[in-house]
Amino acid sequence: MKKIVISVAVLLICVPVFAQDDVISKYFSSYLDDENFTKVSVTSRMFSLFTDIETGDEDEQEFLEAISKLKGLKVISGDSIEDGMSKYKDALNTVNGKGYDELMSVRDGNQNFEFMIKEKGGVITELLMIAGGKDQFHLMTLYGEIDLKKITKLASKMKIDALDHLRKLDRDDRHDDN
Amino acid sequence: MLSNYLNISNLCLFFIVYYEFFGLKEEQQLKTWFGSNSTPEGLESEAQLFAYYSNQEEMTLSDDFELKLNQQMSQEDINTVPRKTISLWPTLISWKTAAVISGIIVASIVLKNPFGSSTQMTDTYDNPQDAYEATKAILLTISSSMNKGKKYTQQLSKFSEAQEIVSGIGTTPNKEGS
Repeated sequence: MKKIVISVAVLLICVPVFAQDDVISKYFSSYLDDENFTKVSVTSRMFSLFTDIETGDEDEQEFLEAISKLKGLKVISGDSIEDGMSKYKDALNTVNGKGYDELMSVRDGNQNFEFMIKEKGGVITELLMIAGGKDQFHLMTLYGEIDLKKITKLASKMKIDALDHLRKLDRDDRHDDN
Repeated sequence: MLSNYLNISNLCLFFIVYYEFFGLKEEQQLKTWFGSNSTPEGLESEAQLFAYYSNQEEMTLSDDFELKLNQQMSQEDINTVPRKTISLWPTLISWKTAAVISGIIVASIVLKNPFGSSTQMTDTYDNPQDAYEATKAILLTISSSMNKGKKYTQQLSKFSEAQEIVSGIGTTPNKEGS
């Protein structure tokens, strides 16, 4: 009886821990079959293959260095959707209180950006970005050992809109589908 | 005396062929004779033998001998052999424990992945080069978005510094004038 009680207690402790990890996966699964969104997933196995990519460009080298300790990423992106702001708020409510610390909130025109991190032992292990506007919604997560300085430095020289990169990705994705 | 001697001789003769020819009647006569007369010289060992046989006949088993023997043996078994109680509880408890642990493992897997394999996002790209380009676009998006926040932070910081300077000028007492 004592063992059963202990086991149940362990189970109850484990449930929230697993639930935290599951928040993003659950969110991704709900958009998995929605064709209005571009879905991208790059696993740690693929990240390990990036080391084989040869590049002599200094910027590329800098980029490879920035992603060298990443273990994976997941993206859901939609820029022609209905009620993007509602989805943005819904996503914020979903991740709220699930172990994420707020890093930064940015409001740029009609776009809202929310950056959240998960930290373990002084190391950022996950970076989550939720962006939403009138007809846009983007959710991105990076896993692994994240160096924010290196990541922010990547686009510091560029003077193009942040989401232009994603639009390019979306166009490529649709082109591939066709 | 002679008759005695003859009797003894006859008896001896009988005794010599005892094992070959004697019947129960003769044997009984010999036993009676050895039991009633003093042992003749030279026949002491035979006398002892017949005395032994006579005693054996007197040692008859009682009717309840077997019952008593069985009871005694049972009693000795109880007293000498350590009692070992075989209980099924340890087996049942171990099965319960195993069942609970299995339940925890299954529940953990289900809770971690409540939608089954559909939530397991695999690599979107098979080609590392395509995955690399997509990763680059995503990281540049995140980087650009973070830089927006950084830009506002810097602007706020500059504004704050300017405000401090201005308020400092306004509150600094004019030593020369005082």
